[in-house]
Amino acid sequence: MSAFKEFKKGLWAESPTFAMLIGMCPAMISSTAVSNAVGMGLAATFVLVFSNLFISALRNMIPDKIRIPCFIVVIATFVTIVDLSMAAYLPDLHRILGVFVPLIVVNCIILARAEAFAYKNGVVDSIADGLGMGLGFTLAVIILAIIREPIATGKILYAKDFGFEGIKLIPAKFAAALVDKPVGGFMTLGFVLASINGITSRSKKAKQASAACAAKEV
Amino acid sequence: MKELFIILLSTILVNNYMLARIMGTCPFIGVSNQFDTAMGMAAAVIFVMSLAAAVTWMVQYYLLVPLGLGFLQTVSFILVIAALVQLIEMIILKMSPTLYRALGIYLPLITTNCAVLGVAVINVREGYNFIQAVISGTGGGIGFSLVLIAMAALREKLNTAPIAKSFQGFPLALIITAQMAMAFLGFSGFNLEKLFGL
Amino acid sequence: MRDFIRYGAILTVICVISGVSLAFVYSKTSVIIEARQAKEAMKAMAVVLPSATDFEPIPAIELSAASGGAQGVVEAYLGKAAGSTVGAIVKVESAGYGGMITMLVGMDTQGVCQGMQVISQSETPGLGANVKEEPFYGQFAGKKGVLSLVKEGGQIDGISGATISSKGAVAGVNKALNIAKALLGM
Repeated sequence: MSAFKEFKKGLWAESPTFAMLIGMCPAMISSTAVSNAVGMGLAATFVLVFSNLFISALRNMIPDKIRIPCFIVVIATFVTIVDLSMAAYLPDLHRILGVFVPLIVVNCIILARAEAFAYKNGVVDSIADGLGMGLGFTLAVIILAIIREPIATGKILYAKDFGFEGIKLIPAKFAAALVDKPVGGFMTLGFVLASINGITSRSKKAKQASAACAAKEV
Repeated sequence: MKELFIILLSTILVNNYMLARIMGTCPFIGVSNQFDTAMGMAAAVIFVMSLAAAVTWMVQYYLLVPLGLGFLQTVSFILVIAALVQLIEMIILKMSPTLYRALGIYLPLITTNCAVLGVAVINVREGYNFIQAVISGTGGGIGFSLVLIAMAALREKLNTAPIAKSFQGFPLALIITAQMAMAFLGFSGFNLEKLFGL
Repeated sequence: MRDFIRYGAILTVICVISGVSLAFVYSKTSVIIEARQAKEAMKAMAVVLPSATDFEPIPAIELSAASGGAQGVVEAYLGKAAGSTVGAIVKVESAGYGGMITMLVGMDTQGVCQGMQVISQSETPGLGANVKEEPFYGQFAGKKGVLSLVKEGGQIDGISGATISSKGAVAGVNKALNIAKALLGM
C-alpha cells in the first residue's frame, strides 16, 4: 500500500513541475506539441524509474561522499540509452527534442529524486516514486502542450513519427507561431501556475515547496 | 576574428541560453530574487561555462573521437563538469576564502544548470574549433548573466509592488521572463554575417 | 588515503559497467540509425532526380574544383540510370533569415532543374519555414537558367512575409545548378 502512496503523490500533490517547481526547462521545451510532450515525459520517466531502481538497490554500496558522481553516472547511462533508442526508433521526435535529450541528465527532478528518495528508501518504493514523479512530469507537460499546440499551429496531436496529421481546431491563419517559441513556454507555464494557485489557493504551500527546493539545491 | 565576434554576439543576444534556448530556468528563477546573489551567480556561471566549454572540447576531440567512444559523450561530459566544479570549489576555497564566501554556494548549483552541459553539447554539434568553443562558452555565460542580472533588478522592484496573490513569486517571474524573451526575439532578425560584412 | 582508493575503485566499477552496457546498446542501435539515414538520403535524392536509379558520390576534391571554391557546398552525386549519367545532385547551404537553409537540388543533363528539397532550416515557423513546403519547393522542378523571385522579374513565387528566406533558397538553388552544370561538363 505504501508503494501506491509513493506513486500517487508525484502525480499532483507533489507534482515536480507544478508543486515543486523543478525541471522546468524540459517542460517548456517539449510542450510545443502533445506528441513531443508525451515523448519527453516518457523518456524522463524511463530514466527516473531506472535510476531510482539502481540507486536504491546500490545505496548500501555507494559511500556518502561520492554519492553525487555515482548518481550522475547512473543517470547519464540511462539517458544515453534513451538517446540512442530514440534516434533509432523515433527519429523525428529525436530531431525536435535535439540537444534536450542528453540534457535530461541535468533535469533536476531526476537528481532530486535520487538524492531525496531513492538513496534513503527501498527498491519497490523507489520504483513507485520514480514512476509517480515521471508520470506527474509527463502529465504537467501534456497540460502545457494541450494549451500551446492548438494556439501555435491550429491543430492538435500532430505526430510525424506515427503518421498522425493532427486534428484541426482553428484555421492555420489564426495560429500564433510565437507560442511555439520560448516566449509561449514561459507565458503558458506562468499562467498555468497562477491559475493553479488561484484555484486551490495554495500559493503559500507552493512557496514553501519552492523555498525547500531552492534550499536543497544550494 | 570577425567570425569569433559573431559567435560571441550570437550566443549573448540571438541564441541567448536562457531566453532563446530555455536552458537554466531553475537557477535563473531561483537566484534572481536578490540582486547581490544574482551578481555572484552570474560571475560563477561565466567562469564555469567558459572553462567547461574548453575542457569538454578537449575530452571530445582528444579522447572520445580518437577512441571511437562518441556514445559516451553525455556520461563523460557531465562527469567532467561535475569534477570541474568540485575542483574550482576547492581551489577557490584555498586561494581566496572571501571569493569562496561569495561564489561557493552557487558552484554546486551550477552542475545541474543545463546551460553548462548544453554549451558543451552544442559546441560539438556546431563543429566549433577550440577557440570558437571557448568563445561560445564565454558568450553563453555572459548572455545568461545579462538576463539574470536584469531579471534580479526587475524583481527587486516587484517586491514593493502590489501583485495579485496567485501571481506572486514564480508565476509572475515566468511571465516577466516571457516578456524579456519576446524583446530578445527582436535580435533573431539580425543578420550578423551581413552586419560584419562576411 | 585508503578511503580515497576505495572511492576511486567504486566509481571506476560503476563507470566501467556503464561504459560496457552503453557499448552494447550502441552496437545494437547504430546499425538501425545508419540504415535509416541512408534510406532517408536515398529517398530525398530520388525525389530531386526521379530519372536516376543509382547515385554515385563525387569525391570532395572533384567537387571543390567544380564549385570554384564557392562557400556552403556540402556534397554532390551523379545520378545514373542503366549505367549512363542522367543528371547531378548537389547539396548546398544558403543563408536564410534564421540561419542556414540546407537543400538538395537535382538537375538533368539538359540543365533543367528536376527538383529541390529542403533538408534542414531554422526559419521562422509559419513564414520562412514554408520553404520546406510543397507550394514553394515544387516550383523549382522544370525550371532552367538563372532563377529569381517574381518580384524581381523572375519565375519563382516568393513566400509573402519571408523575402529573405525565399531569396536565400533561390540563391542556393542557383548555386547548386551552377555546380551541377560544371560537374556534368556543361
